[in-house]
Amino acid sequence: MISWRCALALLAYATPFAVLAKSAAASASTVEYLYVEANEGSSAGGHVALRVDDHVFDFQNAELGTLRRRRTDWDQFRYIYSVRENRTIHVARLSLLPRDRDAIRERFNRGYLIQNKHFSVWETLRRDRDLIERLLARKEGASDGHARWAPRVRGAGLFRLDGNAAFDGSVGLAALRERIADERGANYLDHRIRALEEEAEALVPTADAPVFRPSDVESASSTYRFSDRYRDLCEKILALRVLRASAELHPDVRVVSAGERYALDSMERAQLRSFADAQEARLARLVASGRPDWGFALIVGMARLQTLRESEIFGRLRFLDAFSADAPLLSAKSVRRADAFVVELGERAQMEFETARTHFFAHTSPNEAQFAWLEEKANRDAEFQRGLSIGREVRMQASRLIPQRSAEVGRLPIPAVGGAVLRMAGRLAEAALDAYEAALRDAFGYRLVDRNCVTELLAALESGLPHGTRTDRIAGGLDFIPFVSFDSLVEANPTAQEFEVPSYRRTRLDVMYATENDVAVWLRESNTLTSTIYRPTARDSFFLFFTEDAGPARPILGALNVAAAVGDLALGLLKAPFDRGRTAWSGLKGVVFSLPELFFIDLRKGALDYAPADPPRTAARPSV
Amino acid sequence: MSTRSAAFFIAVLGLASCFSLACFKSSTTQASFESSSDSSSSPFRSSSSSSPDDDEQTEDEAYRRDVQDYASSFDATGDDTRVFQRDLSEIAETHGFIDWESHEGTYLAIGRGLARASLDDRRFRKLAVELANEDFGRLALLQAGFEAGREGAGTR
Repeated sequence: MISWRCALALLAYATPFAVLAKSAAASASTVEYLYVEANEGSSAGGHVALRVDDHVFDFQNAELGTLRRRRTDWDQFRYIYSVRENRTIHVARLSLLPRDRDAIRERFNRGYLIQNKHFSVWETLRRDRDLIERLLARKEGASDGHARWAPRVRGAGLFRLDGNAAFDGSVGLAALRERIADERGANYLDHRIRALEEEAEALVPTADAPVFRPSDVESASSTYRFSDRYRDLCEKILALRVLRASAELHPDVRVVSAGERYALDSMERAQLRSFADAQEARLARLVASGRPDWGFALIVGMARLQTLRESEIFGRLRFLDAFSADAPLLSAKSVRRADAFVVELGERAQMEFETARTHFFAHTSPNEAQFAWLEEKANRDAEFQRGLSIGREVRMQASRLIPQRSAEVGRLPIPAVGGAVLRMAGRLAEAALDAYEAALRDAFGYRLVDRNCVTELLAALESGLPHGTRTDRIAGGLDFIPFVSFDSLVEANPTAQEFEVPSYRRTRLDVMYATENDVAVWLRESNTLTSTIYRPTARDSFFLFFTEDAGPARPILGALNVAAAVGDLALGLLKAPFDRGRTAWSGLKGVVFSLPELFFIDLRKGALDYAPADPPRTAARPSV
Repeated sequence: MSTRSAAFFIAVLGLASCFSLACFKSSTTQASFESSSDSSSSPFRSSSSSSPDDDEQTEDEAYRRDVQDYASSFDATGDDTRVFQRDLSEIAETHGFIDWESHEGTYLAIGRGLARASLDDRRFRKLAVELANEDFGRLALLQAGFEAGREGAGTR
């Protein structure tokens, strides 16, 4: 089943040794085993994770019924779990030898990257199959949309590609085009585009299937496949066509924001000119790059170059709109109401943009990564500024922002593959995809007892320790349960420093109990009707009383919760035709998650949509 | 933390499994990335950092580590260099930028990672030439990273 006893034992061994040997270094050489208390709906048994530096590694259920590694910033992890989910995080801090700690970090990080690679290969296989299907449908003159299919190319939406762009409407691209002509010859672009078009027309589907290696040491073996080759060629062709036409930017892609903080003084304009010059030189080299996907880098680089030149000319910072098309939206209602969290996010976005701006202009020779940082902060700031000023939705995106703007592009070369070859390639692609999916399920499939977030975390922890010792596997027990594993780990490591990050509600209650009458606080905050900390959310089941801090009264309050939930369920059944069973479902869940309270077990914590930052949301403290 | 009895837990486990159990992506976690009321996305990500400068530096270090760790998993006999380069693009994009070739940390980190991948000198030189694409500066960085990685591995 699970093989992690040795991890605990080795940690127990390593801890005192590290402390004795290098007490100074050990303080900076720790890992933290995190146990997140249970909550309803998501993880009734709790959750575990490992913190190394500012990263938290854990395992979560994902596509194909698999268990995937996840890496999260500690701040974000803490905010999600202890504030929004209202769950206390228990921490066992383990001191290790620096080399052991580094080995664990490397092992987890590499495993995370390699697993991502496995799934990236899977996505490539899906794209291969889809591309072949589209080509076949196109060839056979299908009556649906496939017949009119045109490749979708990243970055294509950044430029006007309507055929009227031959008037050198861009600011900056003409100079880049001339530079390349000077360096590589007047007909370079024409010849290169023609060669790439011929290459794309001559493409044939990849016949071999990737070899799956269920390893977290070596990456997935993969060849440069059909769909990837075609995508790269389309992007290169498009990039060079844009450059040849000196196409102008699409009018919708600029972020032009009001406000003094976007104005440039003469020194900043000179700095921006210098940066733009450097970028132009870099883009001129990019056409000869060895990386197979330089086309997209060139497209985005050219679009940015235009905004840089415009910024310099107009004396105000301009950027590309870098939000993805499917970025989640903050509702217009919330924005118009100026909800507290909207205001806080807006203020934070502004502050971060101002700091990024100062930082960018403080660099003597900033690089593309530093500019991208500024571009992202400007996008987020401008988005709030615009949303708040006209009361419309605000786009939010958790991942980093990169201008993508994919769009369909007609008149791109299509691989000239015969129908018979495509049909055979389609069958092979389907078979390769099926086989790879089966291998992924086999290697990473979630199993309740022997492959869950606990077993995988501890197995990875064990293999990360460089001692090479393995102990007998455990044939039973409840160590696969998050809180049991935490207790076992603390027991096996007597020198582990144990503390907790209390939930947001507990943090606020502590403050209230310290400053108000205890009885009044309990009466007010013990239930969902009068609580000032909690507001019922759609994510929670129906309940009346918080039982986390109820002590011996938990079964009584639990019984009341069950009764109330049964009532809600009955009401919900009557309302079902009108609310699609939403109330009934909430009542049913309320019954289920209240029943454990009869046995002194508390699962439900009450999730939050927002928690004010002042007073502090949560902070670590010794375990109680 | 209070220790609960296993029997009670198993009973509850069975009951609660009607809905979901451990390791499921939590609704709130999902919401934080997907919902319209996300208050934990990027603007909050670095709320406890001492300054945005630190954020940028941390991001840069994280990128270098990712490149090094990923390069250390490179299989010199079976992997295609172009796929490796595309993977570098994906890593760079997760760190917010595109032009990894111009990032000064990239080639050093690749060299260090390849040293961990236990490439022999001949395989390393062949790969380094392909990655450097006739740029001697990059070649020198790859070599320096490779040697530093080997020395580091030797002292481990």
